[in-house]
Amino acid sequence: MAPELFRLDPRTTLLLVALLNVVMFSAGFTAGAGTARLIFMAIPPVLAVGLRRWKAALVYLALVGPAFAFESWSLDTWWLGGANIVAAGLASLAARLAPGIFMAYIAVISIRVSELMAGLEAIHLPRLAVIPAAVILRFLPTVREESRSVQIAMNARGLSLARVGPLAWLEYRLIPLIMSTLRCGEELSQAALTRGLGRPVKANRIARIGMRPADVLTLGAMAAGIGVWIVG
Amino acid sequence: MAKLGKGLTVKLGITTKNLIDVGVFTVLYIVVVGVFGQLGALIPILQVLGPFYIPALAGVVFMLFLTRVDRFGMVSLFGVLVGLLVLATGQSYWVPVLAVFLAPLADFIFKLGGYKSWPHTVLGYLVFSQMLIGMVVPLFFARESFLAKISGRHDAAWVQTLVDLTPNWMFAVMIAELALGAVVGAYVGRALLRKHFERAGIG
Repeated sequence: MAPELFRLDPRTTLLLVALLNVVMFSAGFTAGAGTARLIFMAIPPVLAVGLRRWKAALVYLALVGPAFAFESWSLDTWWLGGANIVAAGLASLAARLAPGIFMAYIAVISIRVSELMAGLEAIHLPRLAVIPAAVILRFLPTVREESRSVQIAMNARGLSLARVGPLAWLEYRLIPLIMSTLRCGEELSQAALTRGLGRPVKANRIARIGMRPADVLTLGAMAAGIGVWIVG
Repeated sequence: MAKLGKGLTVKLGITTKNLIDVGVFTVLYIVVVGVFGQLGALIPILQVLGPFYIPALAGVVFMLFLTRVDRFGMVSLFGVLVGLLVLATGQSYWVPVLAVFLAPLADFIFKLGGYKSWPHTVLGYLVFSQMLIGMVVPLFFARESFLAKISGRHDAAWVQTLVDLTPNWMFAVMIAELALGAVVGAYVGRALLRKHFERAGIG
């Protein structure tokens, strides 16, 4: 795969994940809050383009753009009642939820485990937080993969939701998923301990982290977003 | 390495293996709560029942996690990480805020029971699950600013109808649902553990 056009430092990415969600859920309906939401909404697709995920960026824009426009427009012009309020509520929910979910997706695909560990150690987080964080980042894609395998195995045996009912379906989906994920976890533990993860000394990190132009621009956009939210 | 990290590690006796377990179970818990839990959100009535069935469903993951916990700190860490991940998947910051208080409290309850006693396990999981109420706090909170905006243009009777549709007592109902769901989840989790995992040797 071709290299990324640009990518953020893991710390910038994590800060963005946190601030974006605070803005999406705490911003009210004033003009400044709307602008802040618009700014934060626009950052994740730019990052997706930087990672060459064109399609993901387009799908996101096609969903969130209209939802946000519809929410603002309907609240300003409609006499709310009945079906209108339901439609406006759904649009609002989509416009507030989707950016956070998309940003979390960007974080998982863009941050590398070694960079995350280097970044978190650089801000002096204890080992108690760094190791689980690295494991979480490493395991989110694993669970997704395992879940697909379970799905395939169930299809091969002809076990559909309609045939076995919801409770048995959940059991058949969940239990194998948990088992195989735990096995991967055991193997990861062994591998990591063998490679010296449990040593009480500070490891040298070869992952290169630090502020780059993309980080400066992103931090600037975040500051602007928070600024208009507070002022407006 | 930060001094705090080293000091805590020594004091609590949490090993690297423990930390990896915490990470793996955090992912599993989040997948169950976030992905399987959200499946039901497609059907409107299940949204109201969410606080009940989500902890009921996640019980099996939590009970399995507890089989690997034998010292204070792991459940606290697990809870805070779950809270932060919930924040990262587009939910409110109320979950991590609650987690900071509730997870150590649950951890303490488990510790009182020596991480073995069943009544302590059920009570601890009940306390732990309450952090999920944070997910709906903004729905009751953002309403105020929403109502303030629309009441300028709509008649009072209409606004009152909206208030009636989302009463404050629904919040209390959801807290009760979480408690009930957690108890059910603990028992279902234990049953599934016996049925599947102990036999496979990973319980």
